[in-house]
Formats: sequence, C-alpha cells, structure tokens
Amino acid sequence: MRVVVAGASVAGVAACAALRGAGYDGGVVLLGDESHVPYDRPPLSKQLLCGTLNVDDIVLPAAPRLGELDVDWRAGIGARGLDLASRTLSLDDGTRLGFDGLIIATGSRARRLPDQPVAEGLFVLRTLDDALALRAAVSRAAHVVVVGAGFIGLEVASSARSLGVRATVLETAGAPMTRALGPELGGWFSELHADHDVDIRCGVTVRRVRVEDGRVTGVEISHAGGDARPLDADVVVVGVGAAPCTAWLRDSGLGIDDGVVCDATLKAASGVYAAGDVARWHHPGYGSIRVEHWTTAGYHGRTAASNLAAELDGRRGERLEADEIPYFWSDQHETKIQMAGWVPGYDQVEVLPAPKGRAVLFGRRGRLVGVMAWNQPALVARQRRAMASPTSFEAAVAAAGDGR
Amino acid sequence: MRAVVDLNVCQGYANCVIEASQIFDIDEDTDKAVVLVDAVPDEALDDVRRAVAACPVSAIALEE
Repeated sequence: MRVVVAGASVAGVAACAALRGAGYDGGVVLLGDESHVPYDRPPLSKQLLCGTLNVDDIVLPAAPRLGELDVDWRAGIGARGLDLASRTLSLDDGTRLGFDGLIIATGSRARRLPDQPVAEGLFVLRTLDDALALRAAVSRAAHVVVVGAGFIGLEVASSARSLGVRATVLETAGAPMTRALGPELGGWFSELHADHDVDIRCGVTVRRVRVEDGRVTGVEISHAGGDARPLDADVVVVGVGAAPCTAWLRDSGLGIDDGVVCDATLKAASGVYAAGDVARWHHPGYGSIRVEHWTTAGYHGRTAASNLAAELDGRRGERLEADEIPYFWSDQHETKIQMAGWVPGYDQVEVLPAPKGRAVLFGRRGRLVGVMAWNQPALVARQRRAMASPTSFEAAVAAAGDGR
Repeated sequence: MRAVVDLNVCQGYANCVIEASQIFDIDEDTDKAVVLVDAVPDEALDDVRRAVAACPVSAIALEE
C-alpha cells in the first residue's frame, strides 16, 4: 500500500503526519519540487525579509520528524503528470510512481505581469529562494517599487520601510486590497501606509518594466488623469496574486476549475484528495471556494489525510467535511491585521467602535460572514466564535455595540 | 499536561484559538492568549500540539 503526497508544503507535511496519526501504516512518499527542508511561507514577506528570522527559524515543526514518521521525502522531485486509470504519477526525474492513495498539495504559484521580462532586481515572492534573493536586493536598494496592493505587496512595502528603504506601491484598482475586501475598506490601508511614508498610487497600470543590461531600472506606467511619469527603481516586486498549480493535472481527468474540484470531504476522485491552495472544494457554509491561507492548508492536510486513511481502510460511515472558518493574519507597520470568515460578495458592512485599532463586520444575506480587525485580537477571537454557528448580522452588530 | 503561554512573547495572533478553541482564548483587556483549563484533557492534546506549532512567535509550550 502506498500513499503519495504531492507537495512538501504546509498542507503536504500536515497530511503526512496525520496519515500516521490516523493509523495508516503503509508507505508514504512526499514529493516536492523545492530542495529546502519544508518551511513556512508567512514569514517570507515579513520577518525573513526584514532579517529578524533566518532560514533555520522557519522550518516546519513537523519537518524534522519526517524520518521518524517513515515518510520517504524526495527533495527536489515534483509530480509532472497523473494517470488516474493506472493510478500512476510521472515525476520530474523521469520515473513513474504508482499509488493507492494520492493527496494533491501542490499549492499555488505567483502570477506575473503580461510579458514580464526576466531581469536582475525583478521579483515575485513565493518561495524561500525568492525571499532570500529579494532580501539581498532590498538591502542594497534605494527604491523598491511594488506592483499590486494586495497582502503580499503591502507586507513587502512595510518590510522595505522597516529597513529604511523608500517604497512605492502601484495598484490598478481604485484602492488597495480590493480583491480581498472590496473598495470601501481600502482607504484604511492607504492611510496606514501613507502614515509610514509608503507612496501608494492607485488607478495605475504598469505598461512596461524597464530593463537595461539585464537589470531592472524602473517602470513605465499609465495613470488616468494622474502623474504618469516613469518611476526609477532598483528593485521591482510583482505581487499580483497567485494561481493554483494544476497545469500538471491538465490531462488527468480530474475536474479543474481554478483549482482541483473536490467535494466537501476534499475528495477529487476515488482515493484522490486535494489540500491547501490548490483545492477548490465545496465548503458546507460558503459553497465552492478556494482559500490561500496558512491555517486552511494545515487543516486541509489533516482532513484529507484522515478521510483518505478511512477510505483505504475500507471504513464506511462518517467522513470529515472541511467546514473550518478561514482565518489569516498580516503584519504591516507594527499593525496586526486579522481576519476571520469568508467575505466575497458581502452586502453589509459595519465599522465597530475599536479603541485600540479598527474593526469591521461583514454580512451577506443577513448573516455574519466575516470580521477584520487591526490590533484587536480579542474582538476577532470573539466574533470568530460567533460565526461558528449561524448568527444574524444585525444581532452581531447589536452585540458588538454592547461590548459583548 | 499543562499548556503555558509566555505573555512576554505572545502578540495575540490568535492562531492558538483557531487550533484549540476549547483550551485558549484571547483576554479582552490584555489582547494576549489565556489558557482556559488547568490540565489539558488527553483528547485535546493533539489540538494543543498544533497550537504550539501554529504560534507565529512560539509563545506556547506543553509541559508535564
């Protein structure tokens, strides 16, 4: 009996440990196309970039236990194709590997600009190698230009400022963070970054990244009705979102729709599950979603492993549904930003009194579906508990007003 | 086993509450983690181990 876990990520490593925890005692092979010991990604744009944490500090706690768990980790070897009929993977090294169970945890990759060149000083930020190269470049930089005012971009700008480097953020939408939060709350982020001397420019499209002698020298922009002069930069970071790594599954017969399509138990096909960024699953509370959060990745890895172990064991009955409330955090300019819930399509928003920071509740069709707060951890914990069972938006707002 | 939070290190990330909400909460006044139980029940040990691993600033320990 063999289970293959494709992706030595938070989700993949959690799945390996959970397979053993569930009593599965057959073979486990962990594939990963990076050769680093499996590590945590959240610090890459924050503490690792600022230099307060180093490579050794971000190794996943379970990674040193892979040997003890009898997991055959194949460093630097990823999966390149899947044949469902013969239950076989083709691998980077040209070999084939059969499996009885498969957990797909190949994560996502950074999106790039159309026609993005390759040049020294031009980065995306996804892997540890990206982060180490960016750190070295930022430490020598006079001006960092970040393309995209999403979480990664804003964290990079914040880290650059903490190192004393000038930072500019360019965003095509009218406000930062519109993809995650909609336009209304973007002003909070504009203000926070302006207060820390980040030059945030919205409504700006990058027309071309300037490269001379293989080195980035700046960007040419268009800016309707605004200052469209080119910007000089010695480092340009493109942070325009992520796309699930599913290209290798194109001919596999699995359903692919911005992620591997799974049911509520994360099952994509008989004996095949997906976990983490790559999984588009049916969340019992929110419908078909794909989530790129760290906490979701670990939770998915454990859930998929438990369900796969039960399936391989021929156990009938209950499978775990992945119904966790998504949660993530971000650190920007000493401000702790926390968010719980799933807010896309929200139709109600209520800013709460928040003496120590900021806080807002999100509602959809009369239900409380999300909370975001700045420097108000207890408030986030309280509202997340409220969301665990269906709560009306009105009741949540009223309770928050009473300080409950 | 006891769960212990180093309040000098805790920054209120609340990851522990996500992993083990029956064991941890965030204090309304200090905005730091509090442990809700004296002894961690056996059935919650795995959740607490995950909370230890999930804390971004390594503020939690599981002690005998």
